[in-house]
Amino acid sequence: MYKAFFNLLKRDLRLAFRHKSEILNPLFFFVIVVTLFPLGISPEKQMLAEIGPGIIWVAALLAAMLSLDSLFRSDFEDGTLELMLLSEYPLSVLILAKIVAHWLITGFPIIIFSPLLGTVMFLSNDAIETLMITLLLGTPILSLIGAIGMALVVALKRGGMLLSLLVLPLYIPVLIFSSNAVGSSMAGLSISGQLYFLAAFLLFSLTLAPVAASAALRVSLE
Amino acid sequence: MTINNQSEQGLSVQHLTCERGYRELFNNLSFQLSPGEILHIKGENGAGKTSLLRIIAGLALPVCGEITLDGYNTRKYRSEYNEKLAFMGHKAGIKLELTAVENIRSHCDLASGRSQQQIMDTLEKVGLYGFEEMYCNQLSAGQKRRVALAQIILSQTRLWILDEPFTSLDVIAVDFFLELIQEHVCQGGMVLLTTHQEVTLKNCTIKYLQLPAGRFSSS
Repeated sequence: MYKAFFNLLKRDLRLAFRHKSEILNPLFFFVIVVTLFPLGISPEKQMLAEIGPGIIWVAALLAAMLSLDSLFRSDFEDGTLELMLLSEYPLSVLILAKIVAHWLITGFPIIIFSPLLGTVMFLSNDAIETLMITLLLGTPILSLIGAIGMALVVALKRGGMLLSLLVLPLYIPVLIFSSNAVGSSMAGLSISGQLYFLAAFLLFSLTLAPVAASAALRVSLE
Repeated sequence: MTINNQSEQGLSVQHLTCERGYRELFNNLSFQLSPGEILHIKGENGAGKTSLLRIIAGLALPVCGEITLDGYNTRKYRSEYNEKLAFMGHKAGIKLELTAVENIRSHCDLASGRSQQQIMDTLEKVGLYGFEEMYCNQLSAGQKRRVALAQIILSQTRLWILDEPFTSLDVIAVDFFLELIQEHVCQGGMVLLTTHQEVTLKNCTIKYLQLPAGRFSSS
Protein backbone atom coordinates (compact mmCIF):
# COMPACT_ATOMS: atom_id res chain seq x y z
CA MET A 1 0.00 0.00 0.00
CA TYR A 2 2.84 2.41 0.81
CA LYS A 3 4.39 1.41 -2.46
CA ALA A 4 1.22 2.23 -4.36
CA PHE A 5 1.07 5.57 -2.56
CA PHE A 6 4.64 6.56 -3.36
CA ASN A 7 4.51 5.29 -6.91
CA LEU A 8 1.41 7.32 -7.67
CA LEU A 9 3.01 10.34 -6.04
CA LYS A 10 6.09 9.83 -8.19
CA ARG A 11 3.99 9.46 -11.32
CA ASP A 12 2.12 12.71 -10.68
CA LEU A 13 5.32 14.62 -9.97
CA ARG A 14 6.88 13.23 -13.12
CA LEU A 15 3.84 14.32 -15.13
CA ALA A 16 4.05 17.77 -13.59
CA PHE A 17 7.70 18.10 -14.54
CA ARG A 18 6.88 17.15 -18.13
CA HIS A 19 4.18 19.84 -18.10
CA LYS A 20 6.08 22.64 -16.44
CA SER A 21 3.18 25.04 -16.87
CA GLU A 22 1.35 23.14 -14.16
CA ILE A 23 3.98 24.23 -11.66
CA LEU A 24 4.67 27.66 -13.08
CA ASN A 25 1.14 28.92 -13.77
CA PRO A 26 -0.10 29.10 -10.17
CA LEU A 27 3.23 30.50 -9.05
CA PHE A 28 3.23 33.23 -11.73
CA PHE A 29 -0.35 34.07 -10.93
CA PHE A 30 0.54 34.42 -7.26
CA VAL A 31 3.59 36.59 -7.89
CA ILE A 32 1.89 38.81 -10.47
CA VAL A 33 -1.23 39.47 -8.39
CA VAL A 34 0.79 40.43 -5.34
CA THR A 35 3.22 42.67 -7.22
CA LEU A 36 0.40 44.52 -8.97
CA PHE A 37 -1.03 45.85 -5.72
CA PRO A 38 1.80 48.28 -4.92
CA LEU A 39 1.42 49.62 -8.45
CA GLY A 40 -2.35 49.87 -8.27
CA ILE A 41 -2.88 51.22 -4.77
CA SER A 42 0.15 53.00 -3.47
CA PRO A 43 3.79 52.14 -2.98
CA GLU A 44 3.74 53.60 0.52
CA LYS A 45 5.26 51.46 3.19
CA GLN A 46 2.59 52.09 5.83
CA MET A 47 -0.29 51.22 3.54
CA LEU A 48 1.31 48.11 2.03
CA ALA A 49 2.36 46.67 5.37
CA GLU A 50 -1.23 46.98 6.51
CA ILE A 51 -2.88 45.27 3.54
CA GLY A 52 0.05 42.99 2.68
CA PRO A 53 -0.87 39.89 4.72
CA GLY A 54 -4.40 39.84 3.36
CA ILE A 55 -3.30 40.33 -0.23
CA ILE A 56 -0.66 37.63 -0.12
CA TRP A 57 -3.10 35.18 1.38
CA VAL A 58 -5.92 36.01 -1.02
CA ALA A 59 -3.52 35.55 -3.93
CA ALA A 60 -2.30 32.22 -2.56
CA LEU A 61 -5.88 31.06 -2.09
CA LEU A 62 -6.91 32.00 -5.62
CA ALA A 63 -3.77 30.42 -7.07
CA ALA A 64 -4.58 27.18 -5.26
CA MET A 65 -8.16 27.27 -6.47
CA LEU A 66 -7.24 27.90 -10.09
CA SER A 67 -4.85 24.96 -10.03
CA LEU A 68 -7.42 22.51 -8.65
CA ASP A 69 -8.59 21.59 -12.11
CA SER A 70 -5.32 19.78 -12.78
CA LEU A 71 -5.92 17.51 -9.79
CA PHE A 72 -8.34 15.04 -11.41
CA ARG A 73 -9.25 16.48 -14.81
CA SER A 74 -6.59 14.89 -17.00
CA ASP A 75 -6.85 11.54 -15.21
CA PHE A 76 -10.60 11.63 -15.72
CA GLU A 77 -10.30 12.41 -19.39
CA ASP A 78 -7.87 9.65 -20.32
CA GLY A 79 -9.51 7.01 -18.16
CA THR A 80 -6.70 6.44 -15.67
CA LEU A 81 -9.00 7.64 -12.91
CA GLU A 82 -11.35 4.73 -13.65
CA LEU A 83 -8.45 2.34 -13.33
CA MET A 84 -7.58 3.90 -9.97
CA LEU A 85 -11.14 3.27 -8.81
CA LEU A 86 -10.69 -0.37 -9.79
CA SER A 87 -7.44 -0.73 -7.90
CA GLU A 88 -7.25 -3.24 -5.10
CA TYR A 89 -5.85 -0.57 -2.79
CA PRO A 90 -8.13 1.81 -0.89
CA LEU A 91 -9.08 4.71 -3.10
CA SER A 92 -8.58 7.22 -0.30
CA VAL A 93 -4.89 6.30 -0.08
CA LEU A 94 -4.45 6.88 -3.81
CA ILE A 95 -6.37 10.15 -3.61
CA LEU A 96 -4.15 11.28 -0.74
CA ALA A 97 -1.11 10.61 -2.94
CA LYS A 98 -2.62 12.79 -5.64
CA ILE A 99 -3.39 15.55 -3.13
CA VAL A 100 0.15 15.46 -1.75
CA ALA A 101 1.51 15.69 -5.28
CA HIS A 102 -0.81 18.61 -6.01
CA TRP A 103 0.38 20.42 -2.90
CA LEU A 104 4.04 19.83 -3.76
CA ILE A 105 3.41 21.18 -7.26
CA THR A 106 1.30 24.23 -6.40
CA GLY A 107 1.49 24.99 -2.68
CA PHE A 108 5.12 24.40 -1.99
CA PRO A 109 6.55 26.83 -4.60
CA ILE A 110 4.25 29.52 -3.18
CA ILE A 111 5.74 29.00 0.28
CA ILE A 112 9.24 29.27 -1.15
CA PHE A 113 8.44 32.55 -2.88
CA SER A 114 6.45 34.11 -0.05
CA PRO A 115 9.42 35.74 1.78
CA LEU A 116 10.24 37.65 -1.38
CA LEU A 117 6.69 38.93 -1.69
CA GLY A 118 6.58 39.66 2.04
CA THR A 119 9.57 41.93 1.52
CA VAL A 120 7.85 43.63 -1.40
CA MET A 121 4.91 44.36 0.90
CA PHE A 122 7.23 45.71 3.66
CA LEU A 123 6.28 43.03 6.17
CA SER A 124 8.53 42.77 9.22
CA ASN A 125 10.82 39.77 9.59
CA ASP A 126 8.58 38.30 12.27
CA ALA A 127 5.59 38.70 10.03
CA ILE A 128 7.35 36.99 7.12
CA GLU A 129 8.17 34.09 9.37
CA THR A 130 4.56 33.87 10.47
CA LEU A 131 3.44 34.16 6.85
CA MET A 132 5.55 31.14 5.95
CA ILE A 133 4.24 29.13 8.88
CA THR A 134 0.63 29.95 8.04
CA LEU A 135 1.21 29.05 4.39
CA LEU A 136 2.84 25.81 5.45
CA LEU A 137 -0.20 24.93 7.55
CA GLY A 138 -2.78 26.50 5.26
CA THR A 139 -1.92 25.52 1.68
CA PRO A 140 -2.26 21.75 2.38
CA ILE A 141 -5.77 22.52 3.70
CA LEU A 142 -6.55 24.28 0.43
CA SER A 143 -5.44 21.24 -1.58
CA LEU A 144 -7.30 18.80 0.67
CA ILE A 145 -10.61 20.67 0.75
CA GLY A 146 -10.27 21.50 -2.92
CA ALA A 147 -9.94 17.81 -3.74
CA ILE A 148 -13.43 17.17 -2.35
CA GLY A 149 -14.92 19.92 -4.48
CA MET A 150 -13.00 18.86 -7.56
CA ALA A 151 -14.05 15.23 -7.09
CA LEU A 152 -17.68 16.37 -7.11
CA VAL A 153 -17.45 18.43 -10.28
CA VAL A 154 -14.88 16.45 -12.28
CA ALA A 155 -17.47 14.88 -14.56
CA LEU A 156 -19.02 18.24 -15.44
CA LYS A 157 -17.79 20.02 -18.53
CA ARG A 158 -17.79 23.47 -16.97
CA GLY A 159 -17.62 22.95 -13.26
CA GLY A 160 -15.38 25.93 -12.52
CA MET A 161 -18.07 28.22 -11.15
CA LEU A 162 -19.67 25.45 -9.14
CA LEU A 163 -16.29 24.47 -7.77
CA SER A 164 -15.63 27.93 -6.39
CA LEU A 165 -19.11 28.00 -4.87
CA LEU A 166 -18.48 24.69 -3.17
CA VAL A 167 -14.96 25.30 -2.03
CA LEU A 168 -14.64 29.02 -1.25
CA PRO A 169 -16.84 29.02 1.88
CA LEU A 170 -14.60 26.32 3.31
CA TYR A 171 -11.47 28.29 2.43
CA ILE A 172 -12.63 31.39 4.24
CA PRO A 173 -11.76 30.28 7.81
CA VAL A 174 -8.23 29.50 6.62
CA LEU A 175 -7.97 32.96 5.06
CA ILE A 176 -9.28 34.75 8.13
CA PHE A 177 -7.07 32.99 10.65
CA SER A 178 -3.95 33.13 8.50
CA SER A 179 -4.03 36.76 7.52
CA ASN A 180 -5.04 37.65 11.05
CA ALA A 181 -2.02 35.74 12.37
CA VAL A 182 0.34 37.61 10.06
CA GLY A 183 -1.24 40.93 10.98
CA SER A 184 -0.99 40.16 14.68
CA SER A 185 2.66 39.26 14.45
CA MET A 186 3.25 42.59 12.68
CA ALA A 187 1.69 44.26 15.70
CA GLY A 188 3.78 42.10 18.03
CA LEU A 189 0.83 40.14 19.43
CA SER A 190 0.68 36.44 20.23
CA ILE A 191 -0.33 34.23 17.31
CA SER A 192 -0.48 30.83 18.95
CA GLY A 193 -4.29 30.77 18.91
CA GLN A 194 -4.51 31.20 15.15
CA LEU A 195 -1.75 28.67 14.53
CA TYR A 196 -3.43 26.10 16.77
CA PHE A 197 -6.65 26.57 14.85
CA LEU A 198 -4.89 26.15 11.51
CA ALA A 199 -3.08 23.04 12.72
CA ALA A 200 -6.33 21.56 13.99
CA PHE A 201 -8.06 22.32 10.71
CA LEU A 202 -5.17 20.75 8.82
CA LEU A 203 -5.39 17.53 10.84
CA PHE A 204 -9.14 17.47 10.47
CA SER A 205 -9.03 17.84 6.70
CA LEU A 206 -6.05 15.49 6.37
CA THR A 207 -8.01 12.68 7.97
CA LEU A 208 -11.40 13.30 6.41
CA ALA A 209 -10.81 14.90 3.00
CA PRO A 210 -9.31 11.84 1.23
CA VAL A 211 -12.24 9.69 2.36
CA ALA A 212 -14.79 12.31 1.35
CA ALA A 213 -13.07 12.91 -1.98
CA SER A 214 -12.97 9.22 -2.83
CA ALA A 215 -16.68 8.84 -2.02
CA ALA A 216 -17.39 11.88 -4.20
CA LEU A 217 -15.32 10.44 -7.05
CA ARG A 218 -17.23 7.17 -6.98
CA VAL A 219 -20.45 9.14 -7.30
CA SER A 220 -19.32 11.43 -10.08
CA LEU A 221 -17.80 8.67 -12.19
CA GLU A 222 -21.01 6.69 -12.30
CA MET B 1 -24.86 -10.92 5.80
CA THR B 2 -26.61 -13.55 3.77
CA ILE B 3 -25.06 -16.96 3.65
CA ASN B 4 -23.88 -17.65 0.15
CA ASN B 5 -23.08 -20.88 -1.49
CA GLN B 6 -19.28 -20.68 -1.32
CA SER B 7 -18.71 -23.58 -3.66
CA GLU B 8 -20.34 -21.61 -6.46
CA GLN B 9 -17.62 -20.57 -8.89
CA GLY B 10 -17.63 -17.75 -11.36
CA LEU B 11 -19.55 -14.59 -11.90
CA SER B 12 -23.24 -14.48 -11.23
CA VAL B 13 -25.53 -11.59 -12.06
CA GLN B 14 -29.01 -11.62 -10.54
CA HIS B 15 -32.05 -9.51 -11.40
CA LEU B 16 -30.10 -6.52 -12.63
CA THR B 17 -32.02 -3.41 -13.62
CA CYS B 18 -30.39 -0.35 -15.08
CA GLU B 19 -31.77 3.08 -15.83
CA ARG B 20 -30.11 5.85 -17.69
CA GLY B 21 -31.69 9.28 -17.62
CA TYR B 22 -35.10 7.95 -16.52
CA ARG B 23 -35.08 5.44 -19.35
CA GLU B 24 -34.96 1.80 -18.46
CA LEU B 25 -32.20 0.06 -20.40
CA PHE B 26 -32.80 -3.46 -19.22
CA ASN B 27 -34.58 -5.03 -16.32
CA ASN B 28 -34.41 -8.26 -14.43
CA LEU B 29 -31.28 -9.37 -16.24
CA SER B 30 -29.67 -12.51 -14.87
CA PHE B 31 -26.83 -14.61 -16.17
CA GLN B 32 -24.05 -16.82 -14.99
CA LEU B 33 -20.48 -17.04 -16.20
CA SER B 34 -18.26 -19.93 -15.17
CA PRO B 35 -14.47 -20.11 -15.39
CA GLY B 36 -13.42 -20.92 -18.93
CA GLU B 37 -16.29 -19.08 -20.57
CA ILE B 38 -16.63 -15.98 -22.68
CA LEU B 39 -19.70 -13.79 -22.65
CA HIS B 40 -20.21 -11.74 -25.76
CA ILE B 41 -22.71 -8.99 -25.03
CA LYS B 42 -24.62 -7.86 -28.09
CA GLY B 43 -27.02 -5.04 -28.59
CA GLU B 44 -27.67 -1.98 -30.66
CA ASN B 45 -26.18 1.40 -29.94
CA GLY B 46 -27.76 2.67 -26.79
CA ALA B 47 -28.89 -0.75 -25.62
CA GLY B 48 -26.81 -0.44 -22.45
CA LYS B 49 -23.76 -2.59 -23.19
CA THR B 50 -21.30 -0.14 -21.70
CA SER B 51 -23.62 0.57 -18.77
CA LEU B 52 -23.84 -3.14 -18.05
CA LEU B 53 -20.06 -3.55 -18.12
CA ARG B 54 -19.56 -0.53 -15.90
CA ILE B 55 -22.07 -1.90 -13.41
CA ILE B 56 -20.34 -5.27 -13.35
CA ALA B 57 -16.95 -3.60 -12.92
CA GLY B 58 -18.37 -1.70 -9.96
CA LEU B 59 -17.99 1.73 -11.54
CA ALA B 60 -21.72 2.38 -11.71
CA LEU B 61 -24.65 1.51 -9.49
CA PRO B 62 -27.58 -0.55 -10.75
CA VAL B 63 -31.12 0.37 -9.76
CA CYS B 64 -31.41 -3.07 -8.25
CA GLY B 65 -29.80 -6.46 -8.58
CA GLU B 66 -26.83 -8.27 -7.20
CA ILE B 67 -23.48 -9.32 -8.63
CA THR B 68 -21.40 -12.01 -7.00
CA LEU B 69 -18.04 -13.52 -7.83
CA ASP B 70 -17.42 -16.98 -6.42
CA GLY B 71 -20.37 -16.41 -4.13
CA TYR B 72 -19.06 -13.15 -2.68
CA ASN B 73 -20.94 -9.91 -3.20
CA THR B 74 -18.70 -7.70 -5.29
CA ARG B 75 -19.74 -4.48 -3.57
CA LYS B 76 -19.09 -5.74 -0.08
CA TYR B 77 -15.72 -7.25 -0.98
CA ARG B 78 -14.62 -4.50 -3.31
CA SER B 79 -10.88 -4.76 -2.77
CA GLU B 80 -10.83 -8.57 -3.20
CA TYR B 81 -13.01 -8.26 -6.29
CA ASN B 82 -10.84 -5.55 -7.85
CA GLU B 83 -7.86 -7.83 -7.34
CA LYS B 84 -9.45 -10.34 -9.72
CA LEU B 85 -10.65 -7.86 -12.29
CA ALA B 86 -9.12 -6.14 -15.30
CA PHE B 87 -11.13 -3.43 -17.05
CA MET B 88 -10.62 -1.85 -20.44
CA GLY B 89 -13.11 0.87 -21.24
CA HIS B 90 -13.69 3.28 -24.10
CA LYS B 91 -10.96 5.47 -22.69
CA ALA B 92 -7.75 3.51 -22.87
CA GLY B 93 -6.37 4.63 -19.51
CA ILE B 94 -3.09 5.79 -21.00
CA LYS B 95 -1.29 8.96 -20.01
CA LEU B 96 -0.07 10.67 -23.16
CA GLU B 97 2.81 12.43 -21.43
CA LEU B 98 4.31 9.15 -20.21
CA THR B 99 6.18 6.58 -22.23
CA ALA B 100 4.71 3.14 -22.87
CA VAL B 101 6.83 1.58 -20.14
CA GLU B 102 6.01 4.28 -17.60
CA ASN B 103 2.31 3.90 -18.34
CA ILE B 104 2.35 0.19 -17.78
CA ARG B 105 4.51 0.54 -14.72
CA SER B 106 2.18 3.04 -13.09
CA HIS B 107 -0.79 0.85 -13.92
CA CYS B 108 0.87 -2.22 -12.43
CA ASP B 109 1.71 -0.23 -9.32
CA LEU B 110 -2.01 0.08 -8.67
CA ALA B 111 -1.99 -3.68 -8.16
CA SER B 112 0.81 -5.98 -7.11
CA GLY B 113 3.77 -4.77 -9.14
CA ARG B 114 5.55 -6.52 -12.00
CA SER B 115 9.23 -6.64 -12.78
CA GLN B 116 10.79 -4.53 -15.50
CA GLN B 117 11.58 -7.70 -17.44
CA GLN B 118 7.94 -8.81 -17.47
CA ILE B 119 6.86 -5.42 -18.74
CA MET B 120 9.46 -5.46 -21.53
CA ASP B 121 8.48 -8.99 -22.55
CA THR B 122 4.81 -8.11 -22.71
CA LEU B 123 5.48 -4.99 -24.76
CA GLU B 124 7.39 -7.10 -27.21
CA LYS B 125 4.55 -9.60 -27.26
CA VAL B 126 1.98 -6.94 -28.21
CA GLY B 127 4.25 -5.71 -30.98
CA LEU B 128 5.59 -2.54 -29.43
CA TYR B 129 9.24 -3.55 -29.47
CA GLY B 130 11.24 -0.40 -30.12
CA PHE B 131 8.44 1.89 -28.94
CA GLU B 132 8.97 1.33 -25.21
CA GLU B 133 10.55 4.69 -24.53
CA MET B 134 8.35 6.73 -26.83
CA TYR B 135 5.86 9.14 -25.34
CA CYS B 136 2.36 7.85 -25.87
CA ASN B 137 1.25 11.03 -27.63
CA GLN B 138 3.62 10.01 -30.42
CA LEU B 139 1.94 6.62 -30.78
CA SER B 140 -0.98 5.94 -33.08
CA ALA B 141 -4.46 5.13 -31.78
CA GLY B 142 -3.91 1.43 -32.41
CA GLN B 143 -0.56 1.46 -30.67
CA LYS B 144 -2.14 3.13 -27.65
CA ARG B 145 -4.71 0.34 -27.60
CA ARG B 146 -1.85 -2.13 -27.63
CA VAL B 147 -0.37 -0.45 -24.57
CA ALA B 148 -3.74 -0.85 -22.86
CA LEU B 149 -3.75 -4.47 -23.98
CA ALA B 150 -0.35 -5.00 -22.38
CA GLN B 151 -1.82 -3.61 -19.16
CA ILE B 152 -4.62 -6.15 -19.29
CA ILE B 153 -2.19 -9.02 -19.85
CA LEU B 154 0.08 -7.94 -17.03
CA SER B 155 -2.79 -7.58 -14.60
CA GLN B 156 -2.90 -11.41 -14.37
CA THR B 157 -6.49 -11.27 -13.20
CA ARG B 158 -9.22 -13.83 -13.71
CA LEU B 159 -12.04 -11.68 -15.01
CA TRP B 160 -11.44 -9.45 -18.02
CA ILE B 161 -14.08 -6.84 -18.77
CA LEU B 162 -13.44 -5.45 -22.22
CA ASP B 163 -15.59 -2.72 -23.70
CA GLU B 164 -15.11 -2.56 -27.48
CA PRO B 165 -11.54 -3.85 -27.22
CA PHE B 166 -10.98 -4.07 -30.96
CA THR B 167 -11.52 -0.40 -31.85
CA SER B 168 -8.66 0.96 -33.94
CA LEU B 169 -6.76 -2.33 -33.89
CA ASP B 170 -5.59 -3.77 -37.19
CA VAL B 171 -6.46 -7.28 -38.38
CA ILE B 172 -3.26 -8.83 -37.05
CA ALA B 173 -3.71 -7.22 -33.65
CA VAL B 174 -7.34 -8.37 -33.47
CA ASP B 175 -6.27 -11.95 -34.24
CA PHE B 176 -3.53 -11.72 -31.68
CA PHE B 177 -5.97 -10.33 -29.12
CA LEU B 178 -8.42 -13.16 -29.81
CA GLU B 179 -5.65 -15.66 -29.36
CA LEU B 180 -4.82 -14.08 -26.02
CA ILE B 181 -8.44 -14.21 -24.96
CA GLN B 182 -8.54 -17.86 -25.91
CA GLU B 183 -5.39 -18.59 -23.95
CA HIS B 184 -6.76 -16.71 -20.95
CA VAL B 185 -10.04 -18.59 -21.06
CA CYS B 186 -8.34 -21.95 -21.45
CA GLN B 187 -6.47 -21.27 -18.24
CA GLY B 188 -9.77 -20.87 -16.41
CA GLY B 189 -10.23 -17.15 -16.93
CA MET B 190 -13.45 -15.37 -17.72
CA VAL B 191 -14.01 -12.70 -20.34
CA LEU B 192 -16.91 -10.32 -20.74
CA LEU B 193 -16.80 -8.32 -23.91
CA THR B 194 -18.81 -6.12 -26.20
CA THR B 195 -17.96 -5.78 -29.84
CA HIS B 196 -19.82 -5.44 -33.10
CA GLN B 197 -17.51 -7.93 -34.78
CA GLU B 198 -18.07 -11.63 -34.87
CA VAL B 199 -15.92 -13.46 -32.36
CA THR B 200 -14.87 -16.90 -33.50
CA LEU B 201 -12.72 -18.97 -31.22
CA LYS B 202 -11.88 -22.63 -31.21
CA ASN B 203 -12.20 -24.84 -28.12
CA CYS B 204 -13.95 -22.20 -26.05
CA THR B 205 -17.47 -21.79 -24.79
CA ILE B 206 -18.86 -18.52 -26.04
CA LYS B 207 -22.12 -17.39 -24.51
CA TYR B 208 -24.15 -14.65 -26.07
CA LEU B 209 -26.27 -12.09 -24.32
CA GLN B 210 -28.60 -10.04 -26.45
CA LEU B 211 -29.68 -6.84 -24.77
CA PRO B 212 -33.18 -5.58 -25.63
CA ALA B 213 -33.27 -2.97 -28.35
CA GLY B 214 -33.20 0.69 -27.44
CA ARG B 215 -36.54 2.44 -27.19
CA PHE B 216 -36.23 4.54 -30.32
CA SER B 217 -35.66 1.57 -32.59
CA SER B 218 -38.58 -0.50 -31.29
CA SER B 219 -41.13 2.28 -31.68
